[in-house]
Amino acid sequence: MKIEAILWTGVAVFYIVIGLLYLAVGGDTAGVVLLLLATGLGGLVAGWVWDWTRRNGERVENRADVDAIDSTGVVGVYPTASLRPLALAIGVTAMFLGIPLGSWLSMVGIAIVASQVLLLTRDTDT
Amino acid sequence: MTAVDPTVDPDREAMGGADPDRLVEIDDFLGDPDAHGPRGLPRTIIGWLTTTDHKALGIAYIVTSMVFLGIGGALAGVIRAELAEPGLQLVSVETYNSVFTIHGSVMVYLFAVPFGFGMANYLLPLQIGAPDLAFPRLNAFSYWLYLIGGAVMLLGFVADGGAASFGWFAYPPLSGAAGTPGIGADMWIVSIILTGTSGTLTAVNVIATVTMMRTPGMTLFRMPILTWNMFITSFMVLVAFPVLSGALLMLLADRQFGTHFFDPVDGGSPILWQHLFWFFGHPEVYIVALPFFGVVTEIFPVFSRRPVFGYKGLVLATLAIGALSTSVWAHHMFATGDLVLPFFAATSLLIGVPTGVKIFNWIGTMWDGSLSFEAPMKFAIGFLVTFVAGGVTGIMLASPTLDFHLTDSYFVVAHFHYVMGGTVIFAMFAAIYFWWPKVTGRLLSEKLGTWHFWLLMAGFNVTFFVQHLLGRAGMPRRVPDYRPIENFELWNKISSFGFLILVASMVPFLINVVRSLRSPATVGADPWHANSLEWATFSPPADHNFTWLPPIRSERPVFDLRWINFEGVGAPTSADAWEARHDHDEQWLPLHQWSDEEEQKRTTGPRPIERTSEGQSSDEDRADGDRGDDGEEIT
Repeated sequence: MKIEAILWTGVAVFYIVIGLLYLAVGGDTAGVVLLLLATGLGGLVAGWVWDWTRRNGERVENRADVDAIDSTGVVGVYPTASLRPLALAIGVTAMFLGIPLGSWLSMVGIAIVASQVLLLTRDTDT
Repeated sequence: MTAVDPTVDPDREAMGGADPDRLVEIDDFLGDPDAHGPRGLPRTIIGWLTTTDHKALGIAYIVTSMVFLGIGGALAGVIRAELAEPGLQLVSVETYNSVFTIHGSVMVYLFAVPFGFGMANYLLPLQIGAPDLAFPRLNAFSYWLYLIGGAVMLLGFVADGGAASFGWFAYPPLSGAAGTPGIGADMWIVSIILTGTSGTLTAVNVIATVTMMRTPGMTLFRMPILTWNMFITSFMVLVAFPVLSGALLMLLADRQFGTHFFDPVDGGSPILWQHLFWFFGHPEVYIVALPFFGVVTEIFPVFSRRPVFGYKGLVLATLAIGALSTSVWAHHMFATGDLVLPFFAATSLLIGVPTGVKIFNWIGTMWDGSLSFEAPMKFAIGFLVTFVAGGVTGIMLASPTLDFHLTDSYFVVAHFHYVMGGTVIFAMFAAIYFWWPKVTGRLLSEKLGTWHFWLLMAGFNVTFFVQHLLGRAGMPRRVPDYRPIENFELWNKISSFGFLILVASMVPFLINVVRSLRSPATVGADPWHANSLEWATFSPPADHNFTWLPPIRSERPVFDLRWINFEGVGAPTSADAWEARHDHDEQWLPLHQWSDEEEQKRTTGPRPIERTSEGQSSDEDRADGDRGDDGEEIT
């Protein structure tokens, strides 16, 4: 995953350079903070990818001379159809809409979200 | 070699290998499309409500965003009808404010961005040889959040006080509790928080998929440009969308909980909102545009019969656009005066360079090619024309001296509709005509496509070109009325007439779609003779996409496969084309198989997907070391 790591490091480096440049030319505080926070975002992912590569080595997907056969076994376990994403979305909407429309709606939303998150996590046990 | 399955084990005779002059068709490899279980979209309402399939969700995204396009278009109709003559004829001033606010918000937040996400959903796993996105349930959650969030925005129209009426960028103090007291404004804010969150989650999904789920051989620099652009767009979404959500929560707190983030009387700053909003807002226009740049980059090579010109240049240009677009935000704020003007003028002009590189590469791709002008190619060229026209006025507006004069005039409206409207609409239809056979197994009529294209081209330019002149003469944005000075009346009439042509252009398209859907699905896997991996599966694709994959040795694996009999073209060496490929031929195997029959029959619970070696003893050792035992569990 070297190229991915380089990409994310590039994100971090770009934002720190442009952020410091913006600070140097007298940019506004909000802009400087946002640019430096974006550095953190890039750095966070870059760090994770570097560490992943260090621990696991290069992935077969990044070699130029391999075929499907070179990566066999269980690729992934995919979840089946589920009503939970829809219910969760309704819950989240109710949670936020409760802010202008009344706290009772937020309570309903929180209850839906909590129950659906619980059910979603239990789904993965089976 | 051990025979695996006659339908997925290509043999040289069957695919015309004995005849070195015959171009191989992808269908020769695929066998019976219905031998691998169900294909296509869910057929029941429950199926749609519960689906986690990236293809079904991709279509849901695209259809929903087209419905929002219709709603946004209808609101545009109200605007053009009101402006066709001086005076107030159709709506009140307050309603007019709501109409242009929701028109802009629907088009930007609920149509353009989600259409791109819809394409990412449908095409991205197909283009990199993956069975689905990395997190299918998260993907379903993103879609529902988008749909419900969008509905919340529109429900503002029936709320007490009407829908939000402060423009799609919601500048305080106008968007504060005193400026816009109605509940519709709060619903607008909640709606954007929800759809923004949906976008952020999709971006996470796309990045995880591209990083971890490419099929072996599909290195980053062999990915189709569309996938690259989706990947980079997702970076930008992660940088930009959370800032907007944060700013909207601050605005909601100002309105509901009495905080003073943007209230100058109590030490807050309305300019702070502008910085936060445009830190999202400028990347946003590229978040909208980059997926559509990717679309035309897929289309030009196919209809020019040439490889894409300057693949790495295009990737680097996209990266440069992605990076620079997050450092130009305050060029929307030149008129506030409280800025480092040279910094933002310089970065804004600089972004024209990678954009120019892209245009150069698209022209380079077509140059000296064997061009043909099927509907996708027509729309892609239409995209190029409108995008360049919008780009040129963008360079003008990047100069603060000109911007001071032109800001908040119809010149900006014209510029904005050329770069956002024209780019998106033309590339969107290019995408629809291009991938329609893959999604439905049917073709769209070329004749109706031609009518559609020319009507759209005429309608779009008649509507928006005169708005440059209106703006230059001083007509301000967001006004329902104007005095009959200069040529305002004439130009506004022309613009409104153009809108009617735009509406008319949708008629051949709708007829085309209905007629195509009622015809039998007979199109093969690769009707355009295209390049990327989505054309190496059935139309519509099988459940979890692929029953086998060709070897991937370049950024055009499907092209390589079709030209496999031709030395030096599809074959990597000058030795006998087939022999050179022999090792790989042995490895053409079903990529994704269910781990056992019992698992396949289960209708609930997680379903494992397995890549098997099926007696390829030479590869088993390697396989164990790679991902054999520790398959990632993705839920």
